[in-house]
Amino acid sequence: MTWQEARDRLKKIKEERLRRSDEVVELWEGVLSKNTRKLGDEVWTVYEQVCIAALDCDRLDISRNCVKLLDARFPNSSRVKRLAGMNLEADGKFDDAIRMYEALTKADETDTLSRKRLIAILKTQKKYRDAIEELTDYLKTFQNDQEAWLELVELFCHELDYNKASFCMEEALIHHPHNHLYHQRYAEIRYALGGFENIDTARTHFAKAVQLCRWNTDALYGMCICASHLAISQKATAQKRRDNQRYGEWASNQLIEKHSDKLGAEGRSKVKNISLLLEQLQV
Amino acid sequence: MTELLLDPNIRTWVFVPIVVITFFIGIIRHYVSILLSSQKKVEVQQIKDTQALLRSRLLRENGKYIPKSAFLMRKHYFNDKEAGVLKLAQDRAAPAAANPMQDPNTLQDMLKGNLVNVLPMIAVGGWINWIFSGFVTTKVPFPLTWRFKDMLQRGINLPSLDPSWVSSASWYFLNVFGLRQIYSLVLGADNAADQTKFMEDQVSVSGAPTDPRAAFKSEWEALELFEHQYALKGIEEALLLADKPALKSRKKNT
Repeated sequence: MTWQEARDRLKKIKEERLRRSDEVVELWEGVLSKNTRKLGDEVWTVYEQVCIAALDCDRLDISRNCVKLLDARFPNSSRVKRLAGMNLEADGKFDDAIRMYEALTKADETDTLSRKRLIAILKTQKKYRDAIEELTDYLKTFQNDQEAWLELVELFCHELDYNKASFCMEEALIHHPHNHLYHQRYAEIRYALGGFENIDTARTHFAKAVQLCRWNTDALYGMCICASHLAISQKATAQKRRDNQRYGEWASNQLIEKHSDKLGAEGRSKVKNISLLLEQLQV
Repeated sequence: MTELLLDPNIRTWVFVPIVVITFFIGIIRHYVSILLSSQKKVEVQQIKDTQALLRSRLLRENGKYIPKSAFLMRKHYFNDKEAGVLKLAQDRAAPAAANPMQDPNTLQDMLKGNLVNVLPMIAVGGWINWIFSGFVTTKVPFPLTWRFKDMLQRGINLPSLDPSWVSSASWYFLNVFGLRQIYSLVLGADNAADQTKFMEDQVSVSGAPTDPRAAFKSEWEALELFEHQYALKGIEEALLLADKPALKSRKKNT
């Protein structure tokens, strides 16, 4: 790969926010680091990018070097300090890292990245309760940070607090109502909550996920399970039970069809297995 | 009409110097504005406000994709009579920074902007007009209609002169507006050398400062009037229906 290509590739990775850390480190070591002068002023953003990628790949030698160079050029930059803090984190010196981030957030209250780092440290230290507390506090101000809401979903699920997790997932749904994976996730949380109402909602959202992406087999299975559950529920009216029976059958038919489509002739026996399993699900 | 012949001295002492001067003034302006620029500090409260408004708007837009109870919970959070976020924000006292004239920071920024942009423009424009006035500097290589005389022959009042000749003052203005590409080549895409950009900025700034309370009030009203309709209602039936024609056609094929 030529020098020019490597630079363009690096730029593209940065612009599209891909997480190709190993590729970035490889490009840097193999091609770009041999001629840094040619990069001109761009070299500093490249250092930043490479530093984060190196941390991701546990190449602390590279990341330390990047921070050292950046620190020499921008002695008081908060961006560089954050990178230094991330290096400390990678070394396992969490207390020092926390001190660094706290100084940064104190200096600039709108420094969202440092606050997120603090929460990430809590998560690494397995202090999930504290992490949740910090994150909710963060979300009080930055209500539209969809990434943070999703993170909170994960934390609440970890703490088995599905009620709150479902609230946070709704927030993510509002931001991206056409993402089938979000609908699926939401339905899964609702299903985990249990109860007639929740499972009814879960089935609806599984159905939406299927509608948005016909190949979402997870959602099809989910729809199947929910429908079969509702079809025998005591709380449901006769009409509802019949409807759910229909939905469940449709979903299982879809599943069999999708599997046989994909597997071709040799996979017929597998399909048979699946149909058997599905029958068991129907109870 | 006989062809006009220009003194080569005009080229070396008027035509080229104007280009060089405008170019270097742009470069200097870029670096001075970097020196003088102060990082804009954003208030946390301001972020909170805009984020709340945005979230409420999103709720109105996409609230139909979440169950009714979930929607009502959020509506309560925003619009509750006693503790709703949008309601409280309306009652809040007007922030002091509402008037840009009272905030010394904005005033200072405006002053700096004027110092870097408007003053040099006037000073250099006047100076060039004074030093290099009255020269015919160059000729555009195509014929033009007489209407262009005003644009291209500023400072020269010769009714019979062909309009494709360009006077020194007009040459300066052509440079001011035409060097944009060269600046972005030399200084990178986001530079402060271009005067025209500053003028656009100033126009947009003058319309910006509004009272956040008004925004909260209109958002509150919109949310209050919004009726939640679950978009996923009956989705299973729709799914089953949408699939039927496909099934039929497949059966026909086999």
